[in-house]
Amino acid sequence: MSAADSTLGELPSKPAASTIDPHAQTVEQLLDGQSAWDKRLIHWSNWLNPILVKETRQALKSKQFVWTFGLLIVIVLAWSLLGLLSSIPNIYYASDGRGLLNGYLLILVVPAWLIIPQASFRSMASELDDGTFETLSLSMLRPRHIILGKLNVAALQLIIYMSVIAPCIALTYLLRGVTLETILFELIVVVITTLALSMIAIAFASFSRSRALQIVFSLVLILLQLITTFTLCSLLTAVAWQGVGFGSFEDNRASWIALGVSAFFVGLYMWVLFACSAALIGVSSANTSTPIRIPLMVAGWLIAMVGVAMAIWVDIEAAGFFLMLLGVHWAIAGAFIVGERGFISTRAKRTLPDGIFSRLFGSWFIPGPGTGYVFVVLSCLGGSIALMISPLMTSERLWDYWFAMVWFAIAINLYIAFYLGIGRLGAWLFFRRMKSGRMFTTAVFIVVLNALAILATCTLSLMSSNYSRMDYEWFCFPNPWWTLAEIIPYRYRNTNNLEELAVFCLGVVTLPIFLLNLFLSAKDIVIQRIETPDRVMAEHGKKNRAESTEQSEEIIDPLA
Amino acid sequence: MGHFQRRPTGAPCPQPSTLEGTYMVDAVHTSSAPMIELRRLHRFFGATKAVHDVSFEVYRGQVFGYIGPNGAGKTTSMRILSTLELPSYGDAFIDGFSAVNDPDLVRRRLGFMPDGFSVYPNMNCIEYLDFFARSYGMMGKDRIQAIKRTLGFTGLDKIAAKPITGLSKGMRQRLCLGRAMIHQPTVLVLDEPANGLDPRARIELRQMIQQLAAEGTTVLVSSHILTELAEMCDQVGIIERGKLLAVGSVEEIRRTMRGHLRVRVIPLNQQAEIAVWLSQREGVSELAQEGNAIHFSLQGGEAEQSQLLTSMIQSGFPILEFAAHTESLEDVFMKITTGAVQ
Repeated sequence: MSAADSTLGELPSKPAASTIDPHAQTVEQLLDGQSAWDKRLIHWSNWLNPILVKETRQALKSKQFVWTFGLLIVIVLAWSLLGLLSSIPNIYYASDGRGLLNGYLLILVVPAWLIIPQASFRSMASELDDGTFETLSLSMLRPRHIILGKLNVAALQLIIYMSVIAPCIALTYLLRGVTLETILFELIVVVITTLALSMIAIAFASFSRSRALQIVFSLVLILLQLITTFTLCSLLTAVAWQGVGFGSFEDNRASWIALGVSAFFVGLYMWVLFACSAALIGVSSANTSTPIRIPLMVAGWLIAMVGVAMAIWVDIEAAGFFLMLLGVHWAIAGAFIVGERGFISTRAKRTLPDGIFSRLFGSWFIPGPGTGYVFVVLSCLGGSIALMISPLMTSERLWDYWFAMVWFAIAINLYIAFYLGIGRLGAWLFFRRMKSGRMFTTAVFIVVLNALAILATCTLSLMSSNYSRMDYEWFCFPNPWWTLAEIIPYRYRNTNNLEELAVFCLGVVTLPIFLLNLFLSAKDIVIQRIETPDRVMAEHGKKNRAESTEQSEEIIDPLA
Repeated sequence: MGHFQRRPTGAPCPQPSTLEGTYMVDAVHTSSAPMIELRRLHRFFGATKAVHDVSFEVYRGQVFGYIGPNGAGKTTSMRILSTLELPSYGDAFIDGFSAVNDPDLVRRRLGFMPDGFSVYPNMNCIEYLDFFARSYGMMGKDRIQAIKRTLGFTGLDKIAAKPITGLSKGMRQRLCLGRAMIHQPTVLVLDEPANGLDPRARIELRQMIQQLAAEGTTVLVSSHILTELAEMCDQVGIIERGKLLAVGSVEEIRRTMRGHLRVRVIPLNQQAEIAVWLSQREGVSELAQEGNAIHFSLQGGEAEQSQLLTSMIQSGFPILEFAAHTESLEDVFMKITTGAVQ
């Protein structure tokens, strides 16, 4: 038997490490760790996302991370020395912490807002580019695990970078002039922005399946990062110098509410982006539509709920603003949803609702443009009704404002039903055979339609006044922006007959479009659920049983 | 080298060695059910029919060779089988589970080694395998055992700490195979695994595949190196322009495609008499004489050969050599395919 044969002999039933071999010892050490601390870390890492473990290992060996980390330490040290030396004569009594804190935060945002999102983008894009994503997707990792792993890596990098400036920030507190609340506020802004930018970067990388798209999205991301950095750096500077405090909550009420609401919406749309990215990189036959519709619906309802709360407790006019936000939310989501392909795979059919109640409430979650259209229109209507009622729940009871809100809500809902209805019909007529990019094309089609409507109404308005001026007339109703700007509700405002006529005309043209779409959506709804084969059910059951056995063993073991 | 014995087609295979942990496939459907099944598989890219109505079955422990020229549709059908692509029509099954409808169950049972090997930078072999073991849900000791077993099997244990970027092509292929088998799949799909390997690495890879098959793993392997496939495959499928032209064991295909045998007879003397005698026999045609040797085509198979030889000897002809030309897999491939591309 040759040497090769001995290597390639039968699979060892016991680990080869039992043989005295220096290399085997190395394998043992590499796998189990050398020190007790290593062993403990490896043990804990069992519960971590594999991508986090892998990318942390890679990052620790990468030059980019070493350089960024090293440079950050050097710059932070230099800034500390400079700041302390410049304030030495007055260091015992002057409030010099603010300037130093501002400097540290501006240093931190460079890796946090510029480098980390770019690293996330490259990491995801290179998986798709290099073909490693395919081998990764063949494992038991679900798309959501992959996206979450990448996001975890961004969070970990941020923690590492923040750990560099943490002692320095403590120093600024000791130097006086900086409150703990200010530090907390600033760090929350940095963390939320970093995670949001990283999520956007990962989503962009998931969308860009071709080299050309990758370049486009990369440029868009850079632009977004720069805009965010410049905008929020001024916010960080302002907050660092002025300070915010819990003690003076009334004075800083707007800042804290703005931070809370912004954080809430950033989190919400990160969830939506997360669902979209996971759907994009998932198995093609899976039902990717329903997992996106759920966060969209939750986001829509939360917009409405936050709007209602703000209208009741902060300002009644918040209802109008949040109604507008709700309209934008459903207009953007709907533009893509109505472009969905009507095809439902056998795999997706197994997950369709069954029974009277689930059919009644769950049918609008069935993938397809028809159900999608009705889902968007109904969801927008539901949120609008909640927001419409909110002015009546305040102590002010501004009836004029309420009537203006009702007209505004009707107009928004009619525009959603009108444009998305035409978009869905257009996709059905013109893009039926299109297999990829259909959703994006439909969204572009709706935008173009909207632009044409704006152009046509402006031209007609000019023509009606003999090219002397541009006044709003009833025939301008296809122009959503102009009409909504005319009827936007604010305190002590009444709608006039012209505006009501425009909304009425809009209703007249929307009704047949809505009914036609409703009729067409029947095609999506009649699809029946098919039963999952027994063997597949048994296999899933077996897996669940195995998992529960494993868990119970883990509980029993320490007792033993 | 002698311990790798070929199993006859359809012969029962030993049970696979079991591993601890729940990630393992602990049972197969039934012993008689095919582990790999392609059922009327179609895949169109625009007007191009990359895969056109391909159907075949591979049973447990068999090695199936997938042969075809470049662009024939091998990789596409392998990718569909591996749940990486969807078919335009038809379905592919692993252990009875549909690659289209139950990809998660298929992936649990499948190890796929693609044509190209993409690596992660700043990683060594052990970290690479550790990552994939974690990705298959292996935890703690199960994972460590699986990595050790894979490193031992692929012979990578001595370079476990070496960065992947510094590995030779052969070592990378081993690592890729290790990655595909880390979760002990019951089915392995290997796309051109021997591509670019030196002869030694190729032989070693072949031995690994044979050993895996001997332990019950079903292997679907594509290759351009037909002699390699002929030696290790129980069955082969020949595909061209998306269509499966022939499927079965090499011998079966050979038997099916040939209507006649080419026979060479070298008599001690009486060449002319033998030629006349042969020309009068039924089933003999295309008679030609080259020196001492007489070449002719004989209708039929081995039984006809034997009958003819017996008759020649009984007729008193002094026969030194009687040989039917055995076609190699290469000959079969060249005869079946036309070399056309789409």
